[in-house]
Amino acid sequence: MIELLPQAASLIFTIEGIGVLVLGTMLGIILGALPGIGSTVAVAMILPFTLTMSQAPAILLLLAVYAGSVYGGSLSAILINTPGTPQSAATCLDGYPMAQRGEAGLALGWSTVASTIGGLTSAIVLLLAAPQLAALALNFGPIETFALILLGLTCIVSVSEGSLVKGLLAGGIGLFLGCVGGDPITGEARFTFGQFQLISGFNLLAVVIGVFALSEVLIRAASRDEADHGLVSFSGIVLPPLAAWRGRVKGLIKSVAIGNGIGILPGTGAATAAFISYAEAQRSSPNRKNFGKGEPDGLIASESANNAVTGGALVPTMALGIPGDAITAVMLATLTLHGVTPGIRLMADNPVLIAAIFSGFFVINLMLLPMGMLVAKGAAPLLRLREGYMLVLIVLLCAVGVYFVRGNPFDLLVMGGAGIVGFVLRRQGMPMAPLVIGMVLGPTLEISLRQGLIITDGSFGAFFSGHPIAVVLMALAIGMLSLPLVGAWRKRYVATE
Amino acid sequence: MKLKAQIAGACALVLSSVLPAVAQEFPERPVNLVVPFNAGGGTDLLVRGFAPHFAEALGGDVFVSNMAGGSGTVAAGALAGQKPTGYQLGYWSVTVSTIQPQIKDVPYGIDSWEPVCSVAASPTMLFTNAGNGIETIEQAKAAIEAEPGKYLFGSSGPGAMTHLTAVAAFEGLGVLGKIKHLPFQGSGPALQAMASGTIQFFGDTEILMQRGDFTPLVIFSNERSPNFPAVPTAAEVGIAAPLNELYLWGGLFAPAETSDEVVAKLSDACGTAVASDGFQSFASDTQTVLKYRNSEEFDAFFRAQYEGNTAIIKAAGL
Amino acid sequence: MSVLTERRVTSLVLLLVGAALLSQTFGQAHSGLGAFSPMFFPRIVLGFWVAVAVLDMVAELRDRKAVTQPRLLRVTLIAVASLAFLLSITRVGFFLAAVPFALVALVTLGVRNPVSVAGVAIGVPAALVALFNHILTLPLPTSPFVWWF
Repeated sequence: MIELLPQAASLIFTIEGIGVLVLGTMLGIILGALPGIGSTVAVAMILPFTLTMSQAPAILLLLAVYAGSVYGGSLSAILINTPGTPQSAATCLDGYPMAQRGEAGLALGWSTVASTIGGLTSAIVLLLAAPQLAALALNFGPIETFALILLGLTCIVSVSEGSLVKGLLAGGIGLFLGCVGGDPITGEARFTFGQFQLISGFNLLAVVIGVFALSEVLIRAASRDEADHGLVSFSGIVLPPLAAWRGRVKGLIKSVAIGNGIGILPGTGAATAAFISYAEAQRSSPNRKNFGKGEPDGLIASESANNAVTGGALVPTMALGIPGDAITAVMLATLTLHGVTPGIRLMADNPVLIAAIFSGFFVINLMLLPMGMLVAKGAAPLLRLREGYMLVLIVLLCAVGVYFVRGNPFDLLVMGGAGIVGFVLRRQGMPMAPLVIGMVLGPTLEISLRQGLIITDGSFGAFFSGHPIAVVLMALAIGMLSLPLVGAWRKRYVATE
Repeated sequence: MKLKAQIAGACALVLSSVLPAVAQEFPERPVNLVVPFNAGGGTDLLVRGFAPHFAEALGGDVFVSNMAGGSGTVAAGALAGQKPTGYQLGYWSVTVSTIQPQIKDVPYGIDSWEPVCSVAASPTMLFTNAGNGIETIEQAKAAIEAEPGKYLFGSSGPGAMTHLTAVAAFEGLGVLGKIKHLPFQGSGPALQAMASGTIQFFGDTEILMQRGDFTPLVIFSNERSPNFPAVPTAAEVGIAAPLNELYLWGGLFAPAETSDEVVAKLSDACGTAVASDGFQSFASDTQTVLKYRNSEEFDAFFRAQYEGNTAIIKAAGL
Repeated sequence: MSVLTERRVTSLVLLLVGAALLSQTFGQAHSGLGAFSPMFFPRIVLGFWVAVAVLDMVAELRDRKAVTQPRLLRVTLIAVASLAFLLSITRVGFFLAAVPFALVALVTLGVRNPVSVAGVAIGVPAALVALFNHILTLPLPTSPFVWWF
């Protein structure tokens, strides 16, 4: 792959190529930052423009928009507590508290640097070891996936500190919401109560936007302290000083590894990676006590992991022709349009194109920092708008974004309902992140569990024999679960002494 | 002064787009093609590739919109309730139009549509992993009979074409009770499971089959594939009608009671577009097998398919 | 002070909803057993929901936590306006649904300058429709009266 770089560079560094990278990254960041318009919608909006382009620029444009939007989602997550995409839901947890105490610029600085590092390392991994990693990913059958998702679910415990019971309840509600609709094994309709529209279930983004963004609007409207100024004070990105990185590098490396690792596995995705990474950081960070109150380590964990996924997701896509998520599926389809057959022979048949894609991806990640600063600068006046304007804008944009996810009017109602229910639950002190985790992971957990049981003829015990990866993952999950419980018990024990 | 001129110009533009419309015939405004799946999928790209040629043939504007959910039934259900103006057409596949309404409680059925034209149709194939010792459909049958319950076939979901293809094959061979079905969420995860050996059989179109390292076993068509002349048709290996022919086809549908002149006009434009050089080369780039039928032929074909697929649906236990 | 606080009522409702849904999984006859039953997984999840909801209810009963009083009129107006907006998008088109919503919401949220209220309420939806329907040709729902908005 390395020896092809000069040829690849000649494909990227053309006027069209550079223009596409710059514009695409910029556009991606803006679209990702608009509340409600996530990566999938951003990529779908760009798709028609790629039809007339040649191979390499078309794919690079999609990649730039993809990587830009994943990063852009963190802007709105931090500044207005509205994750543009499910994958930046974990970013809200520490980003927004930082913004609320007046450190919005610094919070964005941390997230920008973390995103860039996450993206760059994943680009390097892609260039060096995509085929080998893809082969490794094939070891993940339904049983291994089940164990991994189980591990992911344990994050619920760590994101609901302070109100474990309410967090678990939110997680259970999320898991249930993921069950509504057609059964993945038999196709039978579940919990649709005769509503035909529910056959396809609740749309994830509609629920996420509802419980985070719309409920935030309602909370603002219900709040008694009248804000005549903007929601947060913000004038631009402030990069964290080098000295502030002391003690945080280890966490960063771990998060990047988690992001890359999970990105490679088809069908898991950036949201899972961000949450698992956040949970791991909260377990091991020296600053774990401040998590949820505006701790940069939390931001670093979530942002470096979700950006590392963008590269990881390209591994199975390019090496096996198996898309890791909806967005890489769009990229594969675009390749087909340009006469390239995606599949197991993609890399062997088009080595230069693939090298150009991978190295273009590296360049895109280098541009996140300057472009992010530019967009943030441009967005700053918007944030100084009076609260009233801001809230109305958020509702309008969320409606547009949710409508475009799949053009389904029913999703708009789901968003509205989720907003009102989210408002009531949040007033009760229930955290919303576990609900999102449950809904993200639930469907994969269910189908992998039931697939596993079909393979083993209904024996759960057989999950543990001949599946060493699964056993290790499940042991980790049990460890993650019991640690905070033991900690809480010990605290109480000491307190009563 | 300049501003005034601009406003006047803008008004003229708006008026010109409204006024002549009254006099002109169909289409007087943009025609909307509804794709019942998410943007960026195979169907979406096909329709987006088709739209400009269709617009040219129709002499008007055409735009594509997506409405996804419920394996395509959400969009079809929504369009079935629209006014039959001919300005909104759906691109429905075989599953959306003939299979889903028979297995799910959906607000449309065989009589909800005025079929306009068919655009594409590819026969499906059953295939297995390369290098697992199974080279022919006879060997597959023997292996399954030797060890009932050991082998698994995958699908991209219950009721999908991938599911029905495998059901048609194994029901036709009389071994459906001896093999297990493992549904996945989409073709991607299923193909990964094929590559890793979790499942042994999968049925899809020829293009999908070529993506991995797979051995084709049988083709559900009335003739052998020119690319794989050694692969027998289902009828040749003893799979009886109506299980022996399965095509992943798609075409344009208008809501029932769309006026005959409008349907005829759309159907003709569709034929011109399918035959156009631009779309033909698009199809060869994307390895799409085109199959145009005009509204009458398509109507007959659609009704025959609707009845014919009942047998497979029953065999699949849906 | 009544026994019924807002927090307790919410907890109780969550418990009842979970229990009602759980009972749903038993009523119907389903083909297949174990992992093949569509209710296999929901039953586990809902069982978990009900168990945790009971714990939550107990915790709420044991100690009374106060919540701040919301500005009920304001939040109700915004919630109802939002729902009406979302419901009417597909019926009267995005533009005609968004303008009244923005007007009501802006006034409710305390923006009183008539010029800026009207400007934002008409300008933003118009700009969105122009951008999506006419520049990007990714159409938002249009009104039944004219096709271009």
